[in-house]
Amino acid sequence: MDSVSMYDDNECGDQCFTENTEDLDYDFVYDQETPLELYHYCIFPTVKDTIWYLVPLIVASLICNVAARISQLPHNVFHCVMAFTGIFTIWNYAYECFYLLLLFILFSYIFLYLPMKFRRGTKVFIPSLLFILYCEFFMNPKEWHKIRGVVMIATMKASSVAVDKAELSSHINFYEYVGYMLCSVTALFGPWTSFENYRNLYKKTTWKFWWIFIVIGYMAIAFFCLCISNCWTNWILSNSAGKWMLAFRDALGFRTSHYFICFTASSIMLMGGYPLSQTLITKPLEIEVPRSLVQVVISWNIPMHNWLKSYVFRPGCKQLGKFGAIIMTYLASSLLHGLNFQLAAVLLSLGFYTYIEYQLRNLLANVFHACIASKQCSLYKCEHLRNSINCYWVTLVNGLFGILAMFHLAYLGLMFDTSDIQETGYSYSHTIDKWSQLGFASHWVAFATYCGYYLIR
Amino acid sequence: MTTMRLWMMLGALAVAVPALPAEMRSNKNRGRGSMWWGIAKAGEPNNLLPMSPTSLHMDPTVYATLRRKQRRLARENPGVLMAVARGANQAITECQHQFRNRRWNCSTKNFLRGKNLFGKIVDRGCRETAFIYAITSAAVTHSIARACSEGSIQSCSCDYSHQSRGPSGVRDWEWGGCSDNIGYGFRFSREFVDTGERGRNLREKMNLHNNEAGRTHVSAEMRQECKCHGMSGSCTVKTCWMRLPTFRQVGDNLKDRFDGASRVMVSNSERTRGVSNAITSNSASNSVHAQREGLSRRHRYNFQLKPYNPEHKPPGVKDLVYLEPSPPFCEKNPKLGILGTHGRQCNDTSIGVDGCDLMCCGRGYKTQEVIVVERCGCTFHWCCEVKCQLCRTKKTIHTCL
Repeated sequence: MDSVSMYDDNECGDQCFTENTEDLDYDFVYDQETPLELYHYCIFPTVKDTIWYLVPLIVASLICNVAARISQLPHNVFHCVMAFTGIFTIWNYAYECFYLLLLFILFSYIFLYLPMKFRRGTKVFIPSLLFILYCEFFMNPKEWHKIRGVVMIATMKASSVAVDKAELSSHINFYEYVGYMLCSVTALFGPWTSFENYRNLYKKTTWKFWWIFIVIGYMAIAFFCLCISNCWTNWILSNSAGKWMLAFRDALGFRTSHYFICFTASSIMLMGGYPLSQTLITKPLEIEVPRSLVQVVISWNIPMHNWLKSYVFRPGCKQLGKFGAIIMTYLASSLLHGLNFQLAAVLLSLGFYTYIEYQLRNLLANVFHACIASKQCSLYKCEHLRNSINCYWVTLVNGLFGILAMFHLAYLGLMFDTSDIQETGYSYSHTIDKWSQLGFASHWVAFATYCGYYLIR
Repeated sequence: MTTMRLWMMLGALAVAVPALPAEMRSNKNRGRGSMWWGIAKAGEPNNLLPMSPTSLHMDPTVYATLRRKQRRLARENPGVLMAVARGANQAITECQHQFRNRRWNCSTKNFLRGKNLFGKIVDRGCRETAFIYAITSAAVTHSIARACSEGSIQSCSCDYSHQSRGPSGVRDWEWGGCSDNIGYGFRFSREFVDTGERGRNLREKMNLHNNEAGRTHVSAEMRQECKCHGMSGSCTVKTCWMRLPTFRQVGDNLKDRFDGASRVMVSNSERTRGVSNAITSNSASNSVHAQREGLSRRHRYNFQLKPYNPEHKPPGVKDLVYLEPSPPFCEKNPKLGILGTHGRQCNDTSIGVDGCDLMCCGRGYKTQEVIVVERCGCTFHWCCEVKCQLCRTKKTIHTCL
């Protein structure tokens, strides 16, 4: 009854005061963003921004597609249309390297017609190398980091043409070459496509409408990955999680960002008229649930892998042997990515890891006569005695190696975070700092693996 | 006699809810606009009329804590009251977290008695009061903004109309998301929290300034995050988004400002704006109806406080200001509603304010061993549940004499 006098103005004693120190528990109730907030503040603006960003590129690709289907269009006009859409795209998206890129195209075309002795062997890469080095040393780091992808694609295209020309010594049409280099479909997000595939675009007469659904499907996957990369990774795992969980989160964010780019590129390629068979760029499932690091490296960017295989690894194998060729390949790959310590460190680490893994698993596969090598052997013509169907531990061992690969991936991918230096490229100290936080664990594990391999060899 | 009062009370509640504030007016000089803090305790079981949260707007105990204008705001913007109550609770929790190791530990009264929730300390214009005002105002801003994006307040909605971007607009990014929530929270907090403070005397100015500082901290902490996407880690596409700060961050920032709060005094230019022209600035952007009480809004916030020490620089928008030094919190002082530090726990190894020397004000402390039951071995179960075990551990605690 007493307590009813709620508007009593009397002075009350101690009992009016409590020390509520025990209810600190419910601090955390309001801390986490709600899904709706995530939608309003992150997913919606991200998706909207990106759609607006992609619209010009989509329009340019559709123009390319239409141009390829008009059968009356003369050969040179078609390639001019491709070049002009490309010029528009580059101007719109990567104006920082606009003039430089045009200059490079001209220079690399002239290079194709130099006497043979200037462009034999590894010399075919000279224009590309000069271009990358110029950008690396004379460009504003922020701008260089922004247009690096464009430059990478252009140099890959130019050197592939140069190598092919050196081997086959066929004539390269200037219009075709400019159209190939600038073609808006692949200029921005890649992937690398061969000159031959580009030439086949011309006069494709069949119209099929099912591709629209695939385009939309690719786009949906791309945006799904974008949302994971931007919003969900940070939402599910907050900064207070353990350092390995954080490493996994940042690495996942980086991987999904890569899928976003790849699927967008696939979609754009399909819109630009490339056949479906060439639009497979990455296989997310084989990266997320890897069998081995070798498989991850292959599935990461299939066109890039093909390029490296046919223009660096195979020629390198003849001269340097297998180990040399692998290191050469990863060096070339990191050079293509610019002289960035972080990428070089990641790629070279990957090079060593894949080599060790490949050797060890090959050895084990032979010793135990089981399908536990880096590459999956097909079930029908598997030369091993034991495979995942008739022997349970084959699956187990493959699973363990897969988990090891995931561990390495988390370790290698964590430096691509959203810190301030993401726009200018990650520095030497950032990489070392991030890795030393984890005690260089993955390198030690790889070293241990190598020791194991060395002992049982 | 108490029975009679009870019946009178209930009768009054049942017949005319708006009639209640008659009693409020009797003590309106105390903590003018701050009575609404009591809303935090509205739903607690030790309160007289327990109620479900959904009927919050109906509840007379809640209404009793509000001023007329605040009641109108609550009526016109359904859902707002819940958010304010949540914000007030958040403010108390945060305040107690920030001050857990200090002599004044942000204690609150446990039920409504028509008095101020934080006790009589609020009557003094000291640092602690400044912090209370700032944190409550910030909490309302934060909570309203959050409720807006959750869609539980009908009168605000996400406004996506800010699309001033060209086709190549990625070079300078512009926020294209839900832009108005923080703005709505800010404006609503001004209307709701600042109701009683007209800025007529120095104390009201102090309150206004601190309220505004709290709000500014929330909106300033709203931060943009960006991420690069492109071929192999380059930055071809840069996408950005916003993140609402956690209230802990706001609390941390305000605590920093508390430590560096500036003492102010009456400014000479105080009376320069007597002319209160009624150009009530157009608040058409949403339905937080702004009916000016006396001074127009522009003038209400347009003052500069002078630092007490002329050598200090005048306080900025984010700074907390106070008028008088804090009373000693060592001994119990019922006049000021101070509990004293008797019986408080302290840390015998620390040399800071939470250390036993400072906390107990030199009175000494006793040490005892107790068995504490706490949660331990918590594991996360997908999704989204945390299961814990209860552990008994022996702990040595020190309490001030």
